[in-house]
Amino acid sequence: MAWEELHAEKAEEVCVCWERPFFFVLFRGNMVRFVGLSSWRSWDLLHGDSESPGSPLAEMKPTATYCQGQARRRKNMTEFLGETNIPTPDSLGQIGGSLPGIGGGPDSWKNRAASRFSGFFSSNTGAGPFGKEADRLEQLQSKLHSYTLFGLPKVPRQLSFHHDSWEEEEEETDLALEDSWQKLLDNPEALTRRQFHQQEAIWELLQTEATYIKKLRVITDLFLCGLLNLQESGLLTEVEPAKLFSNIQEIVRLHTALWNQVMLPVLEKARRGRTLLDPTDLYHGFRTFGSRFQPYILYCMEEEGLMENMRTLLRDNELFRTYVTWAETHKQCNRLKLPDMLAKPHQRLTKYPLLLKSVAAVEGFINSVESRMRQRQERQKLATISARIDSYEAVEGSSEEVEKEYNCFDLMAPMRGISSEETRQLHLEGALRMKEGKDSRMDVYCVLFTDLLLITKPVKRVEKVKIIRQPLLIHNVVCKELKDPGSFILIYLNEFKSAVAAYTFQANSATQGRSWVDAICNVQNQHQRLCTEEVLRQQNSPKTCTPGEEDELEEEESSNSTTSSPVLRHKDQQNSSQSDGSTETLSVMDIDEPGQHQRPSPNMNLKRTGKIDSDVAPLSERGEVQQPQPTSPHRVHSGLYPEHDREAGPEGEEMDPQCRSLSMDSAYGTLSPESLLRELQPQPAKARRERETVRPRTRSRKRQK
Amino acid sequence: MPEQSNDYRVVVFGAGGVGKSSLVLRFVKGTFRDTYIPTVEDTYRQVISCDKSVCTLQITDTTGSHQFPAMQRLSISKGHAFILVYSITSKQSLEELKPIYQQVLAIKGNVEAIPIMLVGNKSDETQREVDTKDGEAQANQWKCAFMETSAKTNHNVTELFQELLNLDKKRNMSLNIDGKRSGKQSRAERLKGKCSVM
Repeated sequence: MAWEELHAEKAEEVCVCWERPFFFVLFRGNMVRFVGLSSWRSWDLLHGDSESPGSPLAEMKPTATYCQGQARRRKNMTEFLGETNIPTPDSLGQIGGSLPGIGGGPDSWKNRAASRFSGFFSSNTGAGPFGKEADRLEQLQSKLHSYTLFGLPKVPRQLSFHHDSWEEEEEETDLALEDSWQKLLDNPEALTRRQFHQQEAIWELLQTEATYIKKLRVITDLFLCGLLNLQESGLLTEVEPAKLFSNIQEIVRLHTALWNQVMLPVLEKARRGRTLLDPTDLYHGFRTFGSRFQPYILYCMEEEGLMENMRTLLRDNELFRTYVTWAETHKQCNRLKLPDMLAKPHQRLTKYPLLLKSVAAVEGFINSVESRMRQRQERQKLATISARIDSYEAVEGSSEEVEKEYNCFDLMAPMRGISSEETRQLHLEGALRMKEGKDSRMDVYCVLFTDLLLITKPVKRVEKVKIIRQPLLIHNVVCKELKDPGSFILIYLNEFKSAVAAYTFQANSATQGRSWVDAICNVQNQHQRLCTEEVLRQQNSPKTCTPGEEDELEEEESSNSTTSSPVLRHKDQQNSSQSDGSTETLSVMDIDEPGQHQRPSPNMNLKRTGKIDSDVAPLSERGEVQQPQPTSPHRVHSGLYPEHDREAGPEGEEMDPQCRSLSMDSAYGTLSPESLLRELQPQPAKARRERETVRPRTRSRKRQK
Repeated sequence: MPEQSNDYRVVVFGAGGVGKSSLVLRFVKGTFRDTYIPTVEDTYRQVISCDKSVCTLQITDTTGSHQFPAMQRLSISKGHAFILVYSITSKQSLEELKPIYQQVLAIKGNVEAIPIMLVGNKSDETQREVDTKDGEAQANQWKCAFMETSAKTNHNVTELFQELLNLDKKRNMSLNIDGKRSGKQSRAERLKGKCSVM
């Protein structure tokens, strides 16, 4: 079949692209047909040039690419800004001519930029040194005015050379879409209801993706590029682009690649053949989600910091405020503010599961982002607590030898015997009265963590605490409630299980005492479980993954993703397995992985951390082991169904309303390749009816919508 | 914390399928789609009146994010006011709001100063799992306002947003921009006219 050939080609394309980025351009240049340019012209500053793809040499020479690209961009920028005033070829020549060498230091660059400016925009009120603070605003405004009139003048070198981006994706991405998918077909009315919804869902994925890329480019090509241009002229140099935009360029690049390599081919195929959009092709593309979307981890982690920095700048820096306000008035911003636009990536990321139901790689990856962010939050909390510890004074009368090296305690150190992915959490803290041996009672402040209990005393003048007894490892503690209301005893055992210390505590009230005993007991249980998990994990991981995969596997495991192992494997196998017939690929994922189902590790089958109350009960947040989600057994089962059985297969079970999150069920029409696939190939009515009876739950729920 | 005075940010939370997007779309565009609900835009803007001048009501639809609390956190820190939506046909959906509420509480500190509306959507449905009084009780416990709506029949939708604005005592906001049109608004409308969506 023709599409199989195309498919094979695509696998090759991916392969080529990974190894030598710039060959990809040429290869694709032959493959991709351009269909009319979008009205929103991509004056793409990130990527080099599409006008000189003919010779690989041109691609490899930064200077050539740079100058030509600039000419084009300049023109497009002008269109973008809605001006008819297009620079003359002469002035373009000037730009090119002024940029013969790349090697000059920053100073010479800046000077050249400044002088070029003064040559171009004679209306400028003088491009000399911007010494006086009062002049700067005026300078800025006149610059912005000239940008509005003539477009952003050039590609800042930060964008074009720090990232070697001239090697990749040199072509102008074609984001143009028909008004509706129905335009792709000769008579869309003939489709079944399900086919109709399927096409609608795929179309939504494509359309929102294109829109998203355009939005991202507003950030890079307008806000970031504008800022860099101003900085070249010595304005706003105090603003650090990386602290405002993080790695947004990488995000743009990954989406451009996703579009060009995965989505556009699907679209092109449908356009060429006047056929339905084929979800299986998309499905293959999204199997590499985890590796493609890596830049999101950094971006999401930094987003809060970006926002904070942005707010500070907007509040304190008038020049910056003026600049951002100028940029925000462009109609491409769609009346959104810059902070709104910078929030898009995480918003978009969380929508993929809705758009791509049951492309397992997607959810697995997003869970890993989520868990990384959660870990960081937990670590921040712990760092705050750790900063409250003033000193360690558990050893009485310590000599200098002890004092220097050993009188310390690191609360941030990893917990022993527990996965390093886990972070020590605070479970309970409060004032107690402690009695030790025959000494009289003293006021102490106890802090209970995941794996230990600290007995401290407040240090009043600094509002901190000092540790006054050895930190108690929670699994060596025996806790017993005493007869007196609110009192309990902690016996501390050493490795020989012999008591080495005993502390009697008295809480303010019976209830408080109770809650301490309960909390200690709970923490002990949870600690035990975490240790068991870790032991199991260590036993299992060598068997189930090759050394290269181990790191990533751990990462995925921490997110408790059901699907991590197939995802990872297929990332590596994509080149060989993707070129199989498309109808098989959906279940290949499961069938290829006999190892997965044998894995006893309990946390592999758990997910949906979001359902668990994260703030009220941090304990349970990681306690999925106690609350296995019913989803998982079904998922695991699905691998046992042979491919040809999928008619009666796992889908219906998997989507049991009790198990699946509501959103998954309700996002009617979202992409479930397994089911959607069927709609592509017309089937005898009888077969379809059988299917319906086999999977009544799925269908009826969809009808409810 | 948010401080841009010209913007009033409302964040809509809720489990999947409770009708967050439908509510927002009904309010912003006046439409309702019974069959295929698209995975909608993230952010909507509406011009409202605030302290006798005009400001922008910005509505963030968090569809898709309810499974990812760490990312949800990012939306919470941006918001001025919150709509917590559940479906009256699903007790579970009310349950799923609890961690979200706790998260808002944790990030915003004192919630009493922050407008929060608990919303039981799909009030047109007959197969009710959550009684009105259950919703009210929950709202009492959370010290927030409560309302039942139907995006489908357009019941209480505009009221919901107006009530939410009324809850903010620091400013005086209204959905209706009365009489005179300020220059700003006409500019906004002009922009709107131009932006025929990319």
